[in-house]
Amino acid sequence: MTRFSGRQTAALVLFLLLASPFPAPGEETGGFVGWDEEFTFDAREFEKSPLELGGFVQMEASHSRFREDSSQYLLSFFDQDQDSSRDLFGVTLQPDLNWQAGPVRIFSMASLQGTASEEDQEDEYTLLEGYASWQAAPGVSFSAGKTLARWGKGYAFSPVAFISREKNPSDPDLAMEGFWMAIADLVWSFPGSMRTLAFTGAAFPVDEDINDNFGQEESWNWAGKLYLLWHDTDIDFMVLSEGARTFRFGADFSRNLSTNFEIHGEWALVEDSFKRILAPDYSLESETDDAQSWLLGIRYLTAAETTYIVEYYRNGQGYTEGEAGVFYTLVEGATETELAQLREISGPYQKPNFMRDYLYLRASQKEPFGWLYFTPALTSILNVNDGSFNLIPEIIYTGVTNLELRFRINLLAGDGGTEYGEKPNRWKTEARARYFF
Amino acid sequence: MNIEFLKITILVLSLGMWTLPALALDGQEILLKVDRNLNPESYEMYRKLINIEPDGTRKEFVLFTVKKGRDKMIALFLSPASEKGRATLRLEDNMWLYIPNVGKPIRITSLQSVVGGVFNNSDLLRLDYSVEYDVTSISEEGDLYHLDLKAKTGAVAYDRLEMAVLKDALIPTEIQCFASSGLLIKTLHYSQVREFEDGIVRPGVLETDSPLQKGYKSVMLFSDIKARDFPDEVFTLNYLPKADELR
Repeated sequence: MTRFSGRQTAALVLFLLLASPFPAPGEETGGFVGWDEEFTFDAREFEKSPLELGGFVQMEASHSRFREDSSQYLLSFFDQDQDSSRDLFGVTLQPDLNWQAGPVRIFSMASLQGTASEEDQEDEYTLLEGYASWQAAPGVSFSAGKTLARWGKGYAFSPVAFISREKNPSDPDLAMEGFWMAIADLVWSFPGSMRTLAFTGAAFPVDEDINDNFGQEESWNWAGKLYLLWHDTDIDFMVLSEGARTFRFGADFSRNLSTNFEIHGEWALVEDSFKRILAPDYSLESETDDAQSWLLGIRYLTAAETTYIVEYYRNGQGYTEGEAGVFYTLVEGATETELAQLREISGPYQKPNFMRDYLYLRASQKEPFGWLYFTPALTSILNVNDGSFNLIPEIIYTGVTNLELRFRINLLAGDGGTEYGEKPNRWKTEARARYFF
Repeated sequence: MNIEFLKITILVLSLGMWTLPALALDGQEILLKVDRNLNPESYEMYRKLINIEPDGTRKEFVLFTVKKGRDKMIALFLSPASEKGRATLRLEDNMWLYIPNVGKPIRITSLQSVVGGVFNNSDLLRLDYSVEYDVTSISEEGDLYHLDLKAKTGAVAYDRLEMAVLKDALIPTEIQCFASSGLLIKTLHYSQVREFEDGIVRPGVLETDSPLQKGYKSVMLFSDIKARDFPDEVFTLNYLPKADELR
């Protein structure tokens, strides 16, 4: 196994970026482009090919400063020799392949990721999506394979996304892995106040070989979504049958209130929601109850081209402050044997947003102070219950065609016994270069 | 004398009342013809967008666009690779953006810009002018008509337009776009009239600048405009991720 220091990898990334063969801004133009320039455009250059390959390659370097007295740090590293910080270097290739012949289409997208730190080196291959689809008629299509079902209107959270994995609210635009399923899609269009009516039905098995991380029970699962565009408002109703997960249903909506103001919301009811709760004697208690989750959000664009996204999320399946406090206390006073036991049984306490109430805020400003192609943004997720939060300043540069550079810092703030105060990191810096092809 | 004066006054007023609606009707007819001369009501076309920065650097995008009827439109990004597969849908005043591999279509607003530069979403997904605007006045100057247009609803991106139209060809040459406050937001310049398929003769270039973005310019080049009909179901969120299948 090759070992190299995180500083070396960070230097390597910086070198590769500086020495990259991509043209600097301005090189493409050959100088000033006058108003009287004769522009040319030949669309034949963009004729469609039946087989198309796309995607991106990405290099990423991060530096994490740990909070060594936090419960998540103790659980993660109590049996390892871990420094107070860690440098991580990663390379990701995410290709997608699309083949189309008439109404038939085959699509696949994969992620090949290699990460290295001073302690470890890992490779990971994930098929994110891979399916075949048939457009039987303009409003009728069928598909089968590994598919990402994109349900819900929330940006950072989506309590109605019943048949997809949970997104990372700190980076909600990351590509996600789908589940193996068969889908039928029926769409009708009308004149008048009801412009669109669509029904999506999905069926998928869960057992130890397929979709095994969707749920525990071996079963066939059925899900449906009814979509309406009614009076300029997107409305969805969705349902998931009892199977690997308990029966649940919900609804969402989205609407533009003006030319620069959008409002959206979601509501979900999970019947017989099962929750494992840690007791002070290290035992697990279980609780079953119906749980309601909801979300309300806005997206607002100012005249100065600042975009604000605000979402309030109520996680009905989340833990209370008292329940979370028991977990933190147990970890704090645990022996190594007890920590090993806790690591096994406390999975739900280590998920992002495992508590009840969250406020998400994001403000991004397009090209402030005349900084061409720079988009700075500030994101924060506040745990309303315990007052802890994270703060993510970031800047994105897109001045070179097909190259995106992003730098961000994730600062976590909170006292002991709060969610962000008990995360393993005090702060984390990330630099990412992504080249699209 | 008084009776004569009264008769003349009534005659003048009657003529005035008769003439005003006729003038407004002419303006609306001109606007309808401008729309049809720019493109068929239902069509497909390719566009290249060029954003030119004050220092001369530029960014280019290529879009495949389809439109049906008065209020249905899709614009699909073909280039550059970082944008490929992105698709925007417009149904009346509703607009959505789909970003492949990331998530579901999200609602966008007409004043946002998915490409940056001076063009905003309402410019990229422009419906016929006569769908969004009423002609409030018309005047003539040399070989041009000058139309004043007022947005039919508050959901339209620009509250008022001043449009210069060539009298003989009924093609716009310049459009000034104003906010409800009277602020000039941008000016659109049509140029390079040429013949496309299906006998369509229209400008091949649309350039724009804005006093709000001094030094910046954006250019839209048109190619392969042709009449084509589509099923209504194409213009839905469910179909948007598959928009490339229309090519």
